[in-house]
Amino acid sequence: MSETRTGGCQCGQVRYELTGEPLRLIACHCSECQRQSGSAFGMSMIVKKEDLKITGATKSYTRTADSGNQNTGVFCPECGVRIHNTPHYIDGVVTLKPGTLDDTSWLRPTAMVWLKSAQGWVPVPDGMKALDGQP
Amino acid sequence: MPAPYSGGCQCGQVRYEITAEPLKLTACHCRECQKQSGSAFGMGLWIASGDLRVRGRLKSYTRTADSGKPMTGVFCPECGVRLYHIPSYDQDIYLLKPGTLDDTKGLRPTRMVWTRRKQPWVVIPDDIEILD
Repeated sequence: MSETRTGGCQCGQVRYELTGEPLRLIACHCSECQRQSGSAFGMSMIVKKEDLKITGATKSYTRTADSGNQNTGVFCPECGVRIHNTPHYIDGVVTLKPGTLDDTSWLRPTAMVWLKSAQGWVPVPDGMKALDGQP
Repeated sequence: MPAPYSGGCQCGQVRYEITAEPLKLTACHCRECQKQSGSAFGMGLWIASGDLRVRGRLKSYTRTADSGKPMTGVFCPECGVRLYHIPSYDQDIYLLKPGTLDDTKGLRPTRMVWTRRKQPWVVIPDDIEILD
């Protein structure tokens, strides 16, 4: 039995519990992740849909990527903080925004992706997989 | 590339222009910036508030910072993307979220703050001023 991890948005209106181990964690420098985060890169923690239990009101927004794939972003309507994205092209998983976890000290991404659109000032850690484009 | 600089939210409902050169750029590892970005750290591009022209509907949320002073976050109500912060300590400054710029290639923060809250995997660039 793995531990239960908690998180939520900035204003506290949305809270969640994550049970089960995450499947994967990546840091993504694509322009959509830069806009979503407002920062240098976004992070995506791929978790099983049934492992994420959300309480509070959420709002969602769906975009179609250049590839034609659709992705729905789920956020707190009160403070705007993105909680997760739901890719329509993979069944059974969501990509949690792990900066919203209450404890982020254990996070270790295994890859940095879309480096061709990176701002260019963030060092790639030694030993981390680095990809110019999509994983 | 000189000003103006354009940007906007993810869904395109909010668009903006910065009409003059920004004042400074910082990266912040505090817990609030991690939650806001959903990522490892947030960034703040300091601009004079009079230099920002925004089109589209905005929503805002005000929290009390650790300092006891209010900080207002302004975002797109349709996709949630945070566009800028209004600090109460200086009414003439906005802290724009620079990942929302259309061209982010030239961004180079000069200062990293709250590094004691940093996610351990993040590597700090050599040529940046650090405040823990």
